[in-house]
Amino acid sequence: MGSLELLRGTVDVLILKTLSWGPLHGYGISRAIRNATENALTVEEGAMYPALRRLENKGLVESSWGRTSTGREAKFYRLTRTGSAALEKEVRSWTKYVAAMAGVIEAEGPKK
Amino acid sequence: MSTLDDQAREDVRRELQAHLRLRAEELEAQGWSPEDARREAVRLFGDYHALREACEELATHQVRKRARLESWARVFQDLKHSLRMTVRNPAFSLLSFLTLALGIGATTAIFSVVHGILVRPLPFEDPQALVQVYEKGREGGIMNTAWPNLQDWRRESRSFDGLAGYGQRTVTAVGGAEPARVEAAAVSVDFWKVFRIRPERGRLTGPDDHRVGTHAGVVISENLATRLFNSDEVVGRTLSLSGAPALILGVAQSGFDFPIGTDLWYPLEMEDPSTSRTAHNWSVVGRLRRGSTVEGARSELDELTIRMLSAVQDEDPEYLAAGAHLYTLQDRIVQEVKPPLAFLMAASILVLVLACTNLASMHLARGTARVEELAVRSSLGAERSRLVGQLVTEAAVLATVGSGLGILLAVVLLKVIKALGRDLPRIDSIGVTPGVLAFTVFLAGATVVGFGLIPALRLTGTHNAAALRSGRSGRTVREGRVWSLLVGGQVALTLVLLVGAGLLTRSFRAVLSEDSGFGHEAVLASELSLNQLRYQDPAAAARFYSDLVGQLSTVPGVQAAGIISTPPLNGWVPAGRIQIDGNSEKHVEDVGYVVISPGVLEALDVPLFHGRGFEPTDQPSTPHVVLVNQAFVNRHWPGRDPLGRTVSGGGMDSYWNADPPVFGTVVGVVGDLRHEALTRPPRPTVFWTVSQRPGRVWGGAHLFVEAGHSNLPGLATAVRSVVTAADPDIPLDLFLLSDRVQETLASRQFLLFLVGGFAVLALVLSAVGIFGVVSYSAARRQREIGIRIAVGANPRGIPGLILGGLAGIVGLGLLCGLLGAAALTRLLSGSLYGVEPLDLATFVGMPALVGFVALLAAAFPAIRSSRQDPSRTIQA
Repeated sequence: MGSLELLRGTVDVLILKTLSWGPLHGYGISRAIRNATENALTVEEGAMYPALRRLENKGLVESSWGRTSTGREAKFYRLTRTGSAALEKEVRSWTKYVAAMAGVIEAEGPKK
Repeated sequence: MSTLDDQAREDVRRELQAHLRLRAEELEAQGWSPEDARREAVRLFGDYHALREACEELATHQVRKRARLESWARVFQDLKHSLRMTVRNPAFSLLSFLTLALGIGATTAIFSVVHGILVRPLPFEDPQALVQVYEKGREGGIMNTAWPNLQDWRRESRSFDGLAGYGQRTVTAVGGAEPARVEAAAVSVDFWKVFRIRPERGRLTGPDDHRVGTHAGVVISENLATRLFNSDEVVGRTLSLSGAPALILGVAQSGFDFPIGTDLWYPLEMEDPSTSRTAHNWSVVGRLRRGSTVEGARSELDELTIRMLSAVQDEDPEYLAAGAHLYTLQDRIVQEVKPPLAFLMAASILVLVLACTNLASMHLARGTARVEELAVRSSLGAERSRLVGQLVTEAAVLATVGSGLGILLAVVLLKVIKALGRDLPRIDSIGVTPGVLAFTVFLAGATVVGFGLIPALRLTGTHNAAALRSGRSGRTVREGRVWSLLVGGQVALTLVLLVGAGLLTRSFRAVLSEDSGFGHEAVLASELSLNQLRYQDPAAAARFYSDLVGQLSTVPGVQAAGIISTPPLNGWVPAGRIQIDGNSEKHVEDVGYVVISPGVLEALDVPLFHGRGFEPTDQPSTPHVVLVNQAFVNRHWPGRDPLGRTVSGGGMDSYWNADPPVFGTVVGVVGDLRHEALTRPPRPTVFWTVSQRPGRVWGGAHLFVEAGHSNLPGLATAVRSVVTAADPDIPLDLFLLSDRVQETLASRQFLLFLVGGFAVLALVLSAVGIFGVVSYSAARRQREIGIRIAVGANPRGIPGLILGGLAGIVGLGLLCGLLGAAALTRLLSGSLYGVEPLDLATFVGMPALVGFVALLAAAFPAIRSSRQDPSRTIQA
C-alpha cells in the first residue's frame, strides 16, 4: 500500500481521536497516528503542532507541562468536553462520508 | 504584553525541542547514531522554522485573549463580591447609599442653581460686553439716570457701541381678544443695538420712531402676539395702550424678554421724558466697544459727568450726579442673590463633606474590622493589587448607587427649590444640565478615590501583616488621630451650618414679629388700571372710583372697600420734600405721598388714632384735608397736637413742587401702614383723598375689599361682575392680600428652608457619625477596659474615661466651627434682619446644642462599654 497525502483538515480529527484515549504529548500523538495507520498516512511530524495550537485556541483541547514515562519534560494535551463533542460530530460525518464513498466505489455498476 | 508574548514563544520552543529530543531517542533505540538520529528527527519534523512561526503566532494570540478574559473575569468577580457584601450587610449598605445620596443630592441641586443663575452666560450675543450704568450720588449711592445726562453720555462717550435708557412699566393693552395687563418697557433708540436683537417679523423701532411727538409704534414679543391675537400676523395692527393708540411695527427676536418678563417695547420719547437733570428716571444698559473695559468706561463717564454738570446752574446740586457706577449686566442681575447662593453652595459642600467623612469613618471602621480577613487572604497569596482592586470596586458600587440616588434626590429638591425660589433671577433657567451631571460624576469619582482607594492602600499596607502576627488588630496611634480628625471635623462643619440656620431663623422671626400695620385676613385685592381715553380728566377717574367703591360697599358680604394709590408692602412709595405748618420756607424730606378713597383704611384695618377719616363731604371745592400716620407725628410733631396743622406735598401729579405749595389740613392720625417692606421702618406719610387729589390715580389704583364672611370665591365673582359692569376695559386680576404678604417672605423662607434643612441634616449625620466612631472605638478598647475593671477600676468611671478624651476633640471642633461660622456667615449679612451676623445668642447657643448632641451621641456607646463582664472580655 502506497503512502497517501493527508487531506487537509483531517489532522484535527486524528488528533482528537488519539486524545480520546487519554492525555498525551505532541510527540506521542504523532507516534500513535503513525502506528495506527501503519505509516499509511504520511505527514510532516511538525504539522501536528500548529494543529494542536489551533485546537487549543478553539477550546477543544487543553494543555499543561508534565513528564514522560522516561522522565523527559513534555507538554501534555487533554480533550475538553467541547473537544469530545466535536470529535463525536466529526466521526459521525466521516463515517457517513466513508460509507457513501464506499457505496459508490464498490457498486457493481448499473444493471443492464 | 511583551512578557506574555515572550512566555508564549518560549513555550513553543520548549515543546518543539521536546519533540525532537523524544524522536531522536526513539531513533537511537532503533540503532541510529546519536548524531544521525538528531538529524533524522529534524528532517522528519518538516519545515521547523515555518512551523515554529505558525505555532508562535497562534500561541501569542491565545495568551493575549486569555489575559483579556481574565481581567474581565476579575472585575466581574470583584463586582459579584461587592454585591454579595452589599446584600450581606443591608443596614450598612443602605446607610452608606443614603448618606452618599444625601450629600451628592444636596450638592448637585445647589450646584444646579448656582450654575443656572451665576455661572451660565446670559442669553444674549457676547453677554460679557453688556453693562448696566447708573449715576453716582454725592455720597456714592446708586441712582437711575436723568434723561439729559444719558443723552450727554451717549453723545460724548467713546467706550460704548450703544447706550440705552429704559423704564419698566405695566400697561393695559386693549385690541386683542380681551384687555390684558402687559409688562412693557419704554426704551431709547440704542436699545436694540445694545442687545443685538433682530426682528422676528416686521421691524424694530428706529431713529424716526424715537422722536418726541411721533405717532407711537411699538414692538411686541412672540409671546404677546400669541396671547393677544393667537396669530403671527400682528404687524400693522393697532393696540390701545393705557388709552393711547399704538401701531405694532414688529415682533422681537424669539425668546427676548429684557428687562425680564417684558412683552412690549415702545419709544421712551412717547412719555415726553423730563429734561431735569435731577429726575433720576431711567435705567441704562450699554454695550462696551471692543477693547473697552468696565473700569475704563467708568472713569470716562465719571469725567464726563463732572464736566457736563459743572455748568448746570438751575438745579438743586444736592440731587445732581457726581459720577457713574458701572457693572456687567450679569453681575448686576445676580448681585443680590450672589452672597446667599455662595453660602448655600458652601453649606451643601459642607453637607457632602460631612456625608463623606461619615462614609469614611464607617468604611474605615469596617475596613479595620476586615484587616484580618484581608491579612489572611494576603498571606494566602492574594496580590495586593487584587485586594486593592476589590476594595475600589466596592467603593465604585457605592459611588454608582449613591450618586444615582443622589441625582434623583437632586431632581426632587430642584422642584422644591424652583417652587420656593420663584423670585430668584433666572430661576426658570436652572436644571440638571450636562454640566451639572459632569459635576456629579466628578463628585462620585472623588468619592471612589477618597473612600475606596485611600483606605484600600492603608488597609493593605505592610503594617497589617504585623497586626495579623500579633493576634489582634491593634489600635495604632495614627488611626486614633484619624478618628479625632473625623469627629472634630464633623462637629466643626455642623456648627457652621447650625449657626447659619440659627441666624436665619432669628432673622425670620424678627421679620414676622414686625407689625405690618394692616390686617390681611379675607382681603381681596386687585390692581385697577384705567384706560385714559375713557377718563378724559382726573376728575372723571375720581367719579369712577367713588361710584365703584359705593357699589362694592353694597355687595352682600363686603365689609369695607376702597382704593389706594400705592398698595402695602409695595417695595417703594412715592416720597419727597414737603412744606409743613403752612410755611413755604419750612420743609421736611422723604415724606410718603399716598392718595386713598374713603373705605380703604377700614378694609385694611388701619386704625384711626385721632380725629376723623375721609368723608364724602370732602370735595374738590372744599379745603384740602389730609391724614398723617403715627410715624409722621412722631418725627415732625412729637408731643404736639397734629390736628389742624397743615402740610403740602405731591407726587407724580401737578402738586409736585407746586409753587406756591397747596396745603392741606390734618384731620386725623392713622396707624403705620407699611408701604415699603416689613424690614423697613414705617415712613412718615401723608394721605390725601381721591376727590381732592385725583391726578395721582388717573391712570390706575389698587382696590382692596374686606370680606365679612368666608365665601371668598363667591365674593370674588361678585366683585368681578361689579367692576366689569362699571368698566369692561379693566383687566381684573384678583388675589388674596395674605398671599401677597406671603410672597414678600418667600425669598427669606427659601433661604431658611434650605440652610435649615442642611443644618438638620448635618446634625443628624454627625450624631450618627459620632455614635459610630465611639461605638467602634469602645469595642476596640474592650480588652483594655476589661482589664481596668478587673484590676479594680470603678465601672462608673469608664464612660467618663471615654467621654473625657472625646470632650477635648469636640471642644476643639466647636472652636474651629465658630471661626468658620464667623467667616462664612458674613455672606448672609445682606439676608439678615434684626440680627447681627455675629449674634451672641446664636454663637453661644448653637455650640452648646452641637456639643450636647455630640456628647449624647457618644454617651450611649460609652455607657454600654462599662456594662461588660471583664472576665469574658479578657479571656476572649
